Formats: sequence, structure tokens, C-alpha cells
Amino acid sequence: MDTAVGAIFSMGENIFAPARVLVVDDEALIRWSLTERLSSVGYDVEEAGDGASALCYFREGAPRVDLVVLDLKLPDADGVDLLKQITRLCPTCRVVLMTAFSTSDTIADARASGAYDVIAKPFNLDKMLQVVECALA
Amino acid sequence: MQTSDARASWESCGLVLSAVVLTFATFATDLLAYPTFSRLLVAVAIWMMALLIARQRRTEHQLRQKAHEARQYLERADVDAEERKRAEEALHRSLKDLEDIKYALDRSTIVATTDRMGTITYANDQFCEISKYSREELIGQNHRIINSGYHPHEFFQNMWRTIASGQKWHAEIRNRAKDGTLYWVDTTIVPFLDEQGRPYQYIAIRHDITERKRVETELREQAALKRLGEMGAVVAHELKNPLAGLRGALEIIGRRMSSDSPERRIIQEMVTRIDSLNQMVHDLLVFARPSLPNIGQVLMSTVVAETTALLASDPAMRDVVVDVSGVDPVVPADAAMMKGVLLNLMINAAQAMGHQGRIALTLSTTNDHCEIRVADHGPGIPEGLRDKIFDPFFTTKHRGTGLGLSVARRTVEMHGGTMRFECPSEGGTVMTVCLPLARQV
Repeated sequence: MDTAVGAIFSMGENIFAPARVLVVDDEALIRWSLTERLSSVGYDVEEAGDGASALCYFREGAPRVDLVVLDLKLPDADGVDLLKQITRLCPTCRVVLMTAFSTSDTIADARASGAYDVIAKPFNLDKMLQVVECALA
Repeated sequence: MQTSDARASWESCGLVLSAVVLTFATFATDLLAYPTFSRLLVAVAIWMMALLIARQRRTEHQLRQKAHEARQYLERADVDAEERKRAEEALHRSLKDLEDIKYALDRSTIVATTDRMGTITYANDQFCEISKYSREELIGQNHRIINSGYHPHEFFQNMWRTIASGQKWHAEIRNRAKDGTLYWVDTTIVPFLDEQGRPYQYIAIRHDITERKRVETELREQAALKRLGEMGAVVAHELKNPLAGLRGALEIIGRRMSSDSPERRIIQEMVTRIDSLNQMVHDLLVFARPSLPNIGQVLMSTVVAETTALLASDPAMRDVVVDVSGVDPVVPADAAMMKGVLLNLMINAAQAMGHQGRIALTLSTTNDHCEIRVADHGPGIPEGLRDKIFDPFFTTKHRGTGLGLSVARRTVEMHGGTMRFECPSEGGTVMTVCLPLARQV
């Protein structure tokens, strides 16, 4: 898996800077494990435990986020609403949603709102890594 | 009567004759100038005439009375005949009514009579039809012949106690037909009592309520599912989130251990347990909130190949071989759902064989259906469990929700298909999925 290192350089201001990924989930163990796995292959990973903290990464002047791994259900926000806000604030940012439970309508709504993919929890970290790599490719 | 009439006539004739003789004698004596004797004769003649008149009146009166009696007799006879005719008509009507009632009863209900020991003495056509036994097979038998084993022993004990005491008994009973199919009947048993009030015969009148019971069960299940579904969404979120955290964390910890570390194996085992837990939650959710199939044209060989590959990726299935044979039809189906159904059948088959042996998967088609047969060489399904295997939450496994087959069958039914099983005498189990080749959903 560590061969992914070559694929992680974003097309940001500094083309040699690693892609920046924001993990948004209220479950600390999920944030920790994703951060560990994604960092291990060279991504620059940030964490947020709720919607409000996540939006701070999209304020004016904040370093650009290339991809957000976002939980569909956060204590202070609805994932799809947050997804819409993020894509409005940063149209180039890709969003991969995670969900513990959702109906097909919610998933269709998420895809229609611009989600790159919707991954069911619990997931294999390698599978998540694959999706992230594809989204940033 | 005739004798007394004749005597009365002779007496009257005698009196008339005597009166005539006396009159002539009076004239003769008068002519012979015996006036006193003549007067005496006249008196006698008058007396006799009076007697004659009285006698005549009495006779007339008697005759009038007899005529009256005769008229009354005739009238009464007319009335009796009419009454008899009316009674005969009523009897005929009653017999006809009885015959009609019996005909209607036989046409509409299941009727059987038994002697006081419960031995069947009469079975109508409806009884034969629903039980699939011939009349000859039923008569002389006990009702145990159709006992499905569903009701507890006390249920029938209560029935016997009630009817043996001369009381009517009413209940809904699940019976088993000769071919093993189950049916429900609304049953009323009425004892026929002798002069001492003891039952000498019982009549059982039953109505087929199988369809009603099916609908009732379906409604109950739907209500339960709705509640389960509402609960499921909450439970799923609350369970899957920590499971995802635990799984991720264990994966990371496991990666940091050297590949020969015994703890790494433990970590892997923990991840497997989490996946099982997740699968259980998933099964419950799918059961509680089934989604509609997303129908496409599916090449069955692809579904089968992907499913067998998935099965082979499980280390527990390394000694299981799947032999695929038959045709390769294109079926209108939801590919992912069909994979789920086949995987379930293959896992069950493998588990039945103790994760060791060959599973035969055969694909065939008829004019309008595709049949997928999954046969194993396991011990087969015990007879007592055969009517339960599709029941939700029924499982013989140490671990499992008992939802797999129930969900699989419902999935097949959502595709307009059917799922059935056979346990051949030589052993093993054959599960057959039958799917329509033309879209029905």
C-alpha cells in the first residue's frame, strides 16, 4: 500500500506538497485510525470532531484541503448539508462520506450533492485508502 | 244400525196395518150397530196412530242425528286427510331442507364425524380435499393422522375434556396434509348426546382459514418489522460507529506488530469478531428495512463466479469446493441481491458439511423460469425443523441471527421468484431458487 506515495502530490500551489486530507468524525478511534493509515502513506491529515470545527478548515486564508473524509451524521450537523457547504466554499475539494446507517435515498442525495463515494462503516482501512487514492488521482 | 232400522220399519208397518184393520173393524162394528165397541176400536186406532206418529218422529229424529253425525264424521275425515297431507308436505320440506343444509355444509365446510373414541366415521369431500387423504384412508383413523405437532399436548387434552363433558369446543388448529403442507382450520366440535346425556358421537365442522392466518401473520410481521426498522436505524448507528472505531484501531495496532507476533493473530481474530457483529447488525437492518431490487439484466454465470470467489476468499471455506454446471441464462434481477442470496445458500451448505466437501450448483431453465439448485452432502434438515427453516430468527447455529434464509427467500420473492428445499432420502439438502426469466417486479 505504501506505493501510493507517488500518487499523493496534489496540484496545489506547491505541486510537491502532499495532498491534504481532513477527517471529520465524532468517533475518536475512527479519526485516529484513519489519520494513522493515511499519514503512513504520506498524506497530510487533519482531524475534526464536529461540523463547526470542520468548517474552520475552509475559512479564508486557511491552507487548502484536497479531500474530506466526512461522517454523514455529526452531533452538530447533517453530513449532506456540510458536504454542500464544503463544496460551495471549496469547489475543487473532493468529499468521501462515511455512514453507519443510511437509506438509499440519503446515499442518492449525497451523490447528487457531489460526494465522490459513500463508504459503509465499519470499513477496511485499505479499502478507504483505495477510495481516497482514486478520488485524488 | 241397519238391524235396528229394519226393526223400526217392521214395527211401523205393523202399527199402520193394525190401524188400518182397526178402522175397517170400526166401520164394520158400526154397521153392525155396536157403537160402544166401535168407539173402543176408534180409541184404540187413534192411540195406535198416535203411537205410530211418535214412532215416526223418533225415527226421523234418529235419522237426522245419524245424518248429522255422518256429516260430522265426513268433515272430520276431510280435516284429518288435510292435516295428514300438510304433515307429509312439512316432513318432505324438512327432509329437503335437511338435505340442502347437508349439501351446503358439505360444499362449504370440512365435516367429519367420529365415534366417542375419536375414530373417524365420516369424512366429507372437503375434508379429503384439504387433508389430501382419501376417504378410505381417513375412515377408521384418529385425527392424529393430520396433527401438525404445532399445538401443545394440553391443547388437545383441553379439547377432549370439553367435548367429553358434552360441551361444544371451538378453536383454530394448524393441521398437516398428507403431502406435508400445513393448513389452518377454524374448528367447532359438537358432541351428540344419548338419553343419559353422554356423547356417543362427535361432529367436527371446520373452515379453511389458511389464507386469513397468512395475512394475519404478514400484518403482525410488518408491524414488528416497522418497529424493528425504527429501532434498527438508531441501534445501527450506535453500534456501527464504535465498531468502525474499534476495527480501525485494531488494524493499526496489528500493523505495528511483527508478522510472527502471536498478538497479531489475536488482533486479527478481534477484527473477525467485529466483522461478525457488523454482519449481524447488517442482517437485522436488511430484514427490518428491505430495499427494493434494482433490476438489471444479469448474466447468472457472473453472479455465480463472483459469489464462489467471495466464498473462496474466506479461510474457513478452504476445504469447500463448488462444482458449477448447467446453462447460463440472463435473468432480470438485482445482481448484488442475488449474490447475497447465493452466498447465503452456499455458506449454509458449507456449514452443513462441516466446511468440508463439494457443493453442487446447477443452473437450468424452463420456458419462463431459471432454476438455481444448491446441493450439499450434509446430514439434511431434521424433519422436525423443516417447517421452521424460513422463519425469521430461527437458527440451529451456535452463532447467528437466524435471518439469513428468511431474508434470502424474501429477496427471491421480491424478484417474483420462489425458494424451496428438498431433503433427498440419500441425504443432503437441495435448495432451489426459481426466478422468472421475464421481469415481474
